[in-house]
Amino acid sequence: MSQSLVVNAGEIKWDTPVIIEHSPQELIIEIGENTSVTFLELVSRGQYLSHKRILKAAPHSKVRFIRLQVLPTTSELEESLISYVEKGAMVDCFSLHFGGFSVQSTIQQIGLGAQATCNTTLLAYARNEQQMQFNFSHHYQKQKGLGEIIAKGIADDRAKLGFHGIIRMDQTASGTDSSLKQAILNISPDTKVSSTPELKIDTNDVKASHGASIVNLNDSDLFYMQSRGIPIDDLRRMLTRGFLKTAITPLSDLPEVLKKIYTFI
Amino acid sequence: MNNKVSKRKGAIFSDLDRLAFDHQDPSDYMKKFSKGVNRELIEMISSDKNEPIWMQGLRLKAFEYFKKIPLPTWGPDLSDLDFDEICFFAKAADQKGGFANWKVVPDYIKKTFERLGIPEAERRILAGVGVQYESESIYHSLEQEWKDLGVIFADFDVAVQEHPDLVRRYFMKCVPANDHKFAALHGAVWSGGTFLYIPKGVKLKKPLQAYFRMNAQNMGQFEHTLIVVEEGAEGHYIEGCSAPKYGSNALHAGCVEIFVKKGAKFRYSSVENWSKDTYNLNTKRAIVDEDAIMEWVGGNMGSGVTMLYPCSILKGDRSCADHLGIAFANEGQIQDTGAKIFHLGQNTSSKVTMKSISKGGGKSIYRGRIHIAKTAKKAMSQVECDALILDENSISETLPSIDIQCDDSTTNHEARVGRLNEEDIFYLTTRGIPQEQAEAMIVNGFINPIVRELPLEYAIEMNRLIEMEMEDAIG
Repeated sequence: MSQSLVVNAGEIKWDTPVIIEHSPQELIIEIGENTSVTFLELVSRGQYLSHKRILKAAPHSKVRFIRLQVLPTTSELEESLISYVEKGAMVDCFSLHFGGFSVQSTIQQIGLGAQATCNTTLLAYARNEQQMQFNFSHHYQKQKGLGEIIAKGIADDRAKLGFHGIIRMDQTASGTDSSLKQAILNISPDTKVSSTPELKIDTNDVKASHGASIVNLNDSDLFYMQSRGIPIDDLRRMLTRGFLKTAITPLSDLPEVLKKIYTFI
Repeated sequence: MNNKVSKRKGAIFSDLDRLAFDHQDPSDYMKKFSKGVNRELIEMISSDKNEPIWMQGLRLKAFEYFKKIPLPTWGPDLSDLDFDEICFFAKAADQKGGFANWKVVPDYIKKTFERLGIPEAERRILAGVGVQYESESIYHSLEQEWKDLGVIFADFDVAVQEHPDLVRRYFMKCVPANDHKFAALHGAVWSGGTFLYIPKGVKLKKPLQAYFRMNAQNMGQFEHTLIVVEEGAEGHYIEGCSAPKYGSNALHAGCVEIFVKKGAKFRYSSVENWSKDTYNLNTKRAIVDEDAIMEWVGGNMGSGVTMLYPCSILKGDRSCADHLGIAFANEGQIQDTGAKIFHLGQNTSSKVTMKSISKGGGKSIYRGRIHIAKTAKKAMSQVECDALILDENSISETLPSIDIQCDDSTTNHEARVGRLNEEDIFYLTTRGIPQEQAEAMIVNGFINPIVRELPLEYAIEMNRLIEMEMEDAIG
């Protein structure tokens, strides 16, 4: 079932999010010129879900799209988000995953116009037998694009977690500056983790970088805090929460939303 | 600094020019050899070499794999590579085991290698040298002091005859013939190459070099390099290669297998400069035992299409691999290179440093794989890739893949892509350095962390090759 949502030119709904309810299967969101709008979608119910979101950000619009997934650990989810970012527009996408048994997620941001800004933040906490695979990309087609991808994940118990990020810059995207950072905290000996950060750059007048790290909790940190009387379980919880929380500080102007996210973290 | 060094009077490779690489010797001998690959050709190669029956059996089995395995479905397009147009085996001089010394090598072949500086390098800096021309070795030498210590450095055809037990124990055990299509092809039609055996505890103080030269049009070269470095031994092997350009396809599908035993240390350096007609589809792999160190240093300058990913299998606890590489993709070239490291042992470590330069519409790709197995407790891996794109038509891609099955490990990957810094160029040009030279200097500085790992003479060769690629101005 497809639904559409239109935000008229000039509307400002930045500090009070527009709530997307009932999680339709397909949702097309069209954002008019010079608007500022935040969307919040909570995905918490359903067994087999297939979601498609299409965002069309008109010139000079500013969009923040927050999707918080807290499905039961038996649910299966396949989702995709495609955003088309026109000249001077900005799309900040936050995709936060804590639930589901099997999660296949694809986020594509396409900078169609000059000076398009695309930011993607992805958080995932995979536990028990959860299987989560995330594919995310930024594709800059015109000059002076800007943006970053930050993907952070925790793999615990027997979970499988995979990140596959791509930054692509076309020959027409001179002056673009974009980066990709993937970090996975792998805290159990029985997990399977993969990380593939890719750069595909077709011109020279650009800046592009990527970094990927897969680590466990730092032994020195654990020792330091244990020696100060913090129990090891509390300590692991504190460090893993801290690891995820740093990625969502850009949402500090939305205390209610942040509080909700913290609950799940 | 390297620019200065390259102009030093008396340096062996400082005067290398295009002619040294592009020179074509007469190739009348090709009339005796046909193109294409089939069972009869494989039996003919085996019979010509008077091989033991087990080797012929391996060849035929590999040929069956070759027929079954498809071309890779990833990476550069290989659809223009026509196996029926390639000559898989040809001999320029029918001299089994090569010539005893340079004096008796046919003049035209000797001159080709003199232009490339090989005999001089042998006299001045090497412990031994091997040269191959078309499908067979022409000359192999090793200083007497190393022979006395039990080092074997021989043409691979000779090794099969003289050291059959050693060869049979290791041959295609590191790179099995069913690994991929070109490993299978190699297993079927291999010819020539090098066998190096360094006995326990022997530390070679000077490097050894092998140089591979293709001369004729549509030639294929399939040399096999097998290196065994016994416990506590050390060595350094340098490989060079080149071919003239004809405007029609040539193929290089060599295979390098290295066994680095407990506590041993080995460095494999290569400066690849095949002609831009060549498909360079080479396979290089090392198995590294406990406390051993394997170092790869590579420069890929030539070839139309390169697919080359040196691989280290860190089997032993505390084993270590270091991969350093440069790829230069100029007009019409695709340099698809990288590194593969499999961490199996505990406390293993690896470091990959790759630098690529794309110019004139060339495409450079870093394709890498880090695999940390469940057994590889406390493994550490670090990968750094830097790419320079010198004009708006050139392309750079970085495609690493990291698979982790062990929580107690640390893996980091970083990559950056950018252009020459205009402020640096401005600074140099305001001090009277012409723009083209300023750009070449910055490029040399960019690759210097890798070039400086080569012996001085080969660093000079590498810089000279970069200079030649940088000629005709940057876009």
